[in-house]
Amino acid sequence: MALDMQLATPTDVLASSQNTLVDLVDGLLSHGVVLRAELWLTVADVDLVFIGLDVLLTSPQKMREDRNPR
Amino acid sequence: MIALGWCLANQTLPTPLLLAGPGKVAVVCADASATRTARDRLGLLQRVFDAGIDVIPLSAGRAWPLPPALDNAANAATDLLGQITCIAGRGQLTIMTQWPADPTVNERGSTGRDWLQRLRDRQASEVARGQTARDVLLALGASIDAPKTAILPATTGFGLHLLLPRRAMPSACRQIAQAARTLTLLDGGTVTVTGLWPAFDFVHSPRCLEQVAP
Repeated sequence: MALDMQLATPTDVLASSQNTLVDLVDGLLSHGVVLRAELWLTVADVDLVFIGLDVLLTSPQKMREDRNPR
Repeated sequence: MIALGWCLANQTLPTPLLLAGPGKVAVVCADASATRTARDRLGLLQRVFDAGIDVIPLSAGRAWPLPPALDNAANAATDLLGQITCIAGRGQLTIMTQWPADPTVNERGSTGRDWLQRLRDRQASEVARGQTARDVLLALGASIDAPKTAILPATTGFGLHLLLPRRAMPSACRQIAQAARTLTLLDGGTVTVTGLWPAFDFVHSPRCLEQVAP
């Protein structure tokens, strides 16, 4: 039995509610560049403290919408 | 405004997208009302890409504020320009392999020992099918000469991403279909090929090193 192959354009994928394609979109949503803030506190060329922050600025309502896409 | 990514300045974007920033690298952004969900943001990034613009995409899973993206456009312009050069004229092809769930998952055994045995067999079968799905992806990926990611686990299978020239999409699909016809290892398995997407898996966070005097 050969493999079943499916070709889909990004437009098809974004409009689809098929499990396979929803899974694919979910995967893509977590990829791409993530903005990070990094701060090194240094005294006399000695690194003392490193602070790394992921930047996330959104309202709770928007986060809920993102978790339950239309 | 919500930042979606970076591209070269002085380009015409499809509506409702805008460019922000004074330098060679500009921030692709849109009004918050047009970017309410993660799918909205992914759709907008796709529109930028489909317009023929080389874009470094921010992760669409979050709504990124404009100011830090503008800071990066100014402070990490060299790195961003280098990344744009690397992905110029290319996009991401995504291949996923999935296989049907074991239909005996919810069957009860006649005894506890029987049930435990079935559980163990099922787990062994899942591991074997997962390995086969990975092998199939490796074989399909090897049929195309292009930069590719490692095999990544997804909720229902595995994925592989390739960086292809925009014009190479039809020939790549033909090559994958040809390779898929020769593979019969994954009974009932499905291969899904989609693209081209912006190069989500072939970009990295902008790097800049700023010396701040104590």
